[in-house]
Amino acid sequence: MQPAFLLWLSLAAVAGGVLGSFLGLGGGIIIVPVYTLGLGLPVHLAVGTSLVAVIANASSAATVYLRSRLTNLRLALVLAAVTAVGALVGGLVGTSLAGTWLLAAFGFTLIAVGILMLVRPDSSRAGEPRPEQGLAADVAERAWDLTGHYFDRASGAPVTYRPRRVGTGVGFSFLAGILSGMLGIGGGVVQVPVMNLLLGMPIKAATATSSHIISLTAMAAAVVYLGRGYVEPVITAVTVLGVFVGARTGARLAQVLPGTVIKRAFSVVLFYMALRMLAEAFGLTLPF
Amino acid sequence: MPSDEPVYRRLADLLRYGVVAGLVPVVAGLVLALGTGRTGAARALITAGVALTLVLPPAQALVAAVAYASRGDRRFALVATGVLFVQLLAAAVAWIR
Repeated sequence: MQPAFLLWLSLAAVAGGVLGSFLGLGGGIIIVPVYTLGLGLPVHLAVGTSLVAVIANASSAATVYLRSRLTNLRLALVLAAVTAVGALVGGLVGTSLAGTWLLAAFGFTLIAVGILMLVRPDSSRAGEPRPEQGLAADVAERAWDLTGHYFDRASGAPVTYRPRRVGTGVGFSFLAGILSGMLGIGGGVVQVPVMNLLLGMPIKAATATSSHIISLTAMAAAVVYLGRGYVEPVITAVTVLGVFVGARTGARLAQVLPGTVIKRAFSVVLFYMALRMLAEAFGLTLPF
Repeated sequence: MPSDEPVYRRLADLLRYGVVAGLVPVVAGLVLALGTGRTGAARALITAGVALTLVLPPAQALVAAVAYASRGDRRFALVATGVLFVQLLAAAVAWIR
């Protein structure tokens, strides 16, 4: 492997980690297009590599969230059971598809995420439900006792919530698993807004719980990609370390930079990457 | 229902040591590959690190299942076992196909 290639690879991995963490999307959604379009790697290899990096990064984040008790562990396990099935299905579908179809699927997903960032740039950071919101659960949800508690350092007060519409959340988790397994993205793109907006969970708990789910489920797809030879050791090592370092920088930047403006601006970059991927998939030439 | 505190603690410890255990061989392999050019040994080290990283999720599910079972919470012990089952199924499918 050429030193110049390794340098670009590490820069791309760090950039993916920084942007993915800062934008709340996870590194995979940046890494896969950059590796395929920018570095010319086969899309299956980019997805397999991204999945391993996603596991390492989500596991590291999950450690911190577990210690601060932000994770709703019971809900994470319930949703992980379904997400893992989705990830396995996604992994099998992704490895069976021709590269062009995988590029097209990624392109359309980028467009959807770009629209979400443009329309609701705060969907991954804002939208705290009222404390009483989500406490009106049905009998089944009470029986499962999925109530979450944590101490919110920002407000200096304890927070208690009970997720509602968990059944719907289970359905979306399956979808998140398929997307994650097929495209090598974490799945938080779907899970976090669903847990926050639909299940009525505070955003911090939703982010933490999503990280935990990813740390449990991305493996179901990663082993499928590994089994097909789509995980190259040196590329994976550079990616895992690059994303690991970049994600920490991105998390710090998120606390000091104006997220909404940057998210809206970055949605343009996502649209551009989506167009490039779709053009590549359908054999078209873009004038830009 | 007793507090889940011990389950949180066990999982946090597992993840903390597990992530480090996976990263150390990856870093060592990369240093070996870039510093000495011994790609064979480097690839073996990195592959070991990746394998450890991939073992972490099933280990998590197993620890959660045992922790909930030891506390008499059969429902969540079963849910965690379900997660473990899907993870092992995925590994089996990847191995066979």
